[in-house]
Amino acid sequence: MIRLLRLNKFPILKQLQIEEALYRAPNSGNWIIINNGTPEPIVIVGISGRADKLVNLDEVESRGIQTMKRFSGGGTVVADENTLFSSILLEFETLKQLFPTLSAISSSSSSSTLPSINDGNIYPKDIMNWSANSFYKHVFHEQIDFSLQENDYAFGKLKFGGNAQSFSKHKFLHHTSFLYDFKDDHMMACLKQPDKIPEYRRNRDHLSFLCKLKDRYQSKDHIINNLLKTINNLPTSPSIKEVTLEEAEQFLSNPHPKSNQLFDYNLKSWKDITNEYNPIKNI
Amino acid sequence: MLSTRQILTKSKRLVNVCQKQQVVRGISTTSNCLIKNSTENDKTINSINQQIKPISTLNKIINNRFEKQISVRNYSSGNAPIKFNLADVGEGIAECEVLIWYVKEGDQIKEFDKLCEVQSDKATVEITSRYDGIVTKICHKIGDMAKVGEPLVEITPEGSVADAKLNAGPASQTTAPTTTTNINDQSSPSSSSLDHHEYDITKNGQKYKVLATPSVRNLAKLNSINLNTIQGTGKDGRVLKENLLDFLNGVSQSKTASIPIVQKTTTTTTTTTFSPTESLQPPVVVASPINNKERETRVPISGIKKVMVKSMNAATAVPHFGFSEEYIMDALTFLRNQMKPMAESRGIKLSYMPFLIKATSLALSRYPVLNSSVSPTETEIIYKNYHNIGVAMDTPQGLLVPNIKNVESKSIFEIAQELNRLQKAGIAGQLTPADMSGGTFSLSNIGTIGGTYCSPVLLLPEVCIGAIGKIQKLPRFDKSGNVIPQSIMIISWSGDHRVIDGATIANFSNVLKGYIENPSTMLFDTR
Repeated sequence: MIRLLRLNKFPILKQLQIEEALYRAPNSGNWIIINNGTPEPIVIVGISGRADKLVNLDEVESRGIQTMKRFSGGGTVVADENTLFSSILLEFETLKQLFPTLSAISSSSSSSTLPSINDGNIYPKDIMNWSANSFYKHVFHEQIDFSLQENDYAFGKLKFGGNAQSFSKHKFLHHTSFLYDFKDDHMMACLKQPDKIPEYRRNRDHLSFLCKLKDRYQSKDHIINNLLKTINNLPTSPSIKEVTLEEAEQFLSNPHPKSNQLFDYNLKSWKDITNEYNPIKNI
Repeated sequence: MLSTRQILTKSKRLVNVCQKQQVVRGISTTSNCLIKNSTENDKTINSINQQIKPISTLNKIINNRFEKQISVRNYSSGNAPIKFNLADVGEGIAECEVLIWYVKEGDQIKEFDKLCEVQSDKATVEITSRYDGIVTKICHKIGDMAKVGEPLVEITPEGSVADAKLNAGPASQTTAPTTTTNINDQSSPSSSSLDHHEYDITKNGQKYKVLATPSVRNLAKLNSINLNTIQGTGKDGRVLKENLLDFLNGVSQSKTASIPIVQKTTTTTTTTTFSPTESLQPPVVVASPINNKERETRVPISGIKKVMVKSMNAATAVPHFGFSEEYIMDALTFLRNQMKPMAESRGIKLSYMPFLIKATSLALSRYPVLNSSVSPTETEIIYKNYHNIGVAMDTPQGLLVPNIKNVESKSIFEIAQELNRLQKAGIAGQLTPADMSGGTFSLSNIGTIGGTYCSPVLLLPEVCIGAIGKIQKLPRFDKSGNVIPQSIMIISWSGDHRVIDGATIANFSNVLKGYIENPSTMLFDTR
């Protein structure tokens, strides 16, 4: 069974807190979360991101935009109400049931004699390929130039979706921010050119490297519908149960390490998030 | 059983020891020669004697040291630290950044416990231990780049606690500029006593401690039991061997047994689904494709299932007496429908169960022997002066039976509240040992999935259990002989026939039937 949580303009900060709770809780099951935008613009860096190196902090602060660090790795994005968030949390067992040929492909591609990171011998790159070829390719089926460029979803060489993954022994999380639209000004002013960039980017600046889904789709709803159709057409037709936010929020009370953080512009350092999801201030 | 490598290492050490002993003997021999060959010159003799003393002393010191080292080495010869390397994360990625440590030096760790989290390219990867033992060295601090195929940690295998004390280094490094984790900052020192070993993980200021000796841990591990689910009765809540054995025998502590169907019945499932919503959705079981290449698939029985095997085996030693009865639910249905809006206004989903639980408690007050247990020596019946009624529920972890405490003092609303809380906790995997232990009587609402008559198995040390079948609209005769539709629910009871007889259960059932079929009579007896 896969639990489907649909959110609309739900703060991405809280969504990431829920995702971390689901990811870190044992036996939380399989989840797909779709969120149509976050109400306020926010800069999101990956887990090991250095805020000063990736973000123009003064600029961001003066615009009243928060900067957060998410628990998963990967790059930086300025998200707002026109960003579409899609997160897939699956147990490897479920993935193998849905796509039995996946493990056969991944084990042949791995020539390593070192122990595997998980029972299934499934590596992050395998999941990246699977997500593009077996899932998002169908979501964006109208676009013939949809491709996976290193770790990004692109049309040709223009990126429209960034990914991050987290792997544990029995499950993985793959979450994506799709740029339906964005403020050019935000992207350019808020984000620095990162040190580590994918090869295919070739030193292009943000505006030359990214593209907007709105140029190809009339509405976000169209994309969301494509996403729902793809979910409902997964092989072996697993049961999809639409759930409420409350059901997901229950996992927040399971004790777990909390790696999502907010940047404190005054202290110039990361601080733990204190909100209704995490009311106890961590010492 | 020592590996070849370990045997060779041990042999080398012994050879070294023998060689050193020969040197010592050489010194002794020399000193003896000096004595024998001493000249008549007293001064020479004295000086030689003076030389012999230091040599003898040196001899003693060397011997003592070697004895200690031999004893230590013999103790630890099979338990050299294992270098646990960073696994391959695929696609030729050569190194990963260390993000979080879940352990610190000196911590005890078990196979499959989380060690750390690393980042490779765009994926964070959780690394789990492949060994049981003590973490004796953490090779990278947070923020370091760990190379694939090179050691992440060193783990000294289980059983050599003395060695862990000899080899344990300083507390692990905590110099990460980011505060993605406060684990190492908050760690408390490992116990220095050999009598017990603190297993202490601190995550963001919250500490989790399970006190138990290595032998108890080993026994728990062999039986795939999480020590966190057992209430320890030793000092400071220590889990003792007897607590673990009691748990395994299903005598007390956590209740994780299911209520399987033993004999010929109409139901074949052993799970009870409890959904917080009233309209119960049965779980959809997706048929997995049959792999024609393999004739069979072996799945190890572990965790809760393993405990179930043991507790069900223990229950077979108790003679079960079965009794079933029909209960007319029309009046209770009407009452529940009346109360539903009030419950909803208080944020509670109201099912039949709170009513049935309360009615059961009222009936138990009249027949308290059904709320008792038999002493292990079978010489006493222990009457419990409280009704902690267990309710079976299907959770992601499996079938669990948490109980509602002191039902005799709770209102129906309070019972409904507590039931809601337990259901939510069950789904979230947060049922505590307190929730799971201390039950005196159990109910299983298997009818939410289906079925009529059941043959439930006792949850020892309880002496009675009821399995509630589905509510059906069936034709019955009224007093005038007319056929009328009635909502009928069957409850199948099992009792411990060593102390419970048929008449007792039948009388108890009649009292319960009175309460269920005329719920207003519950008002008379409710405190």
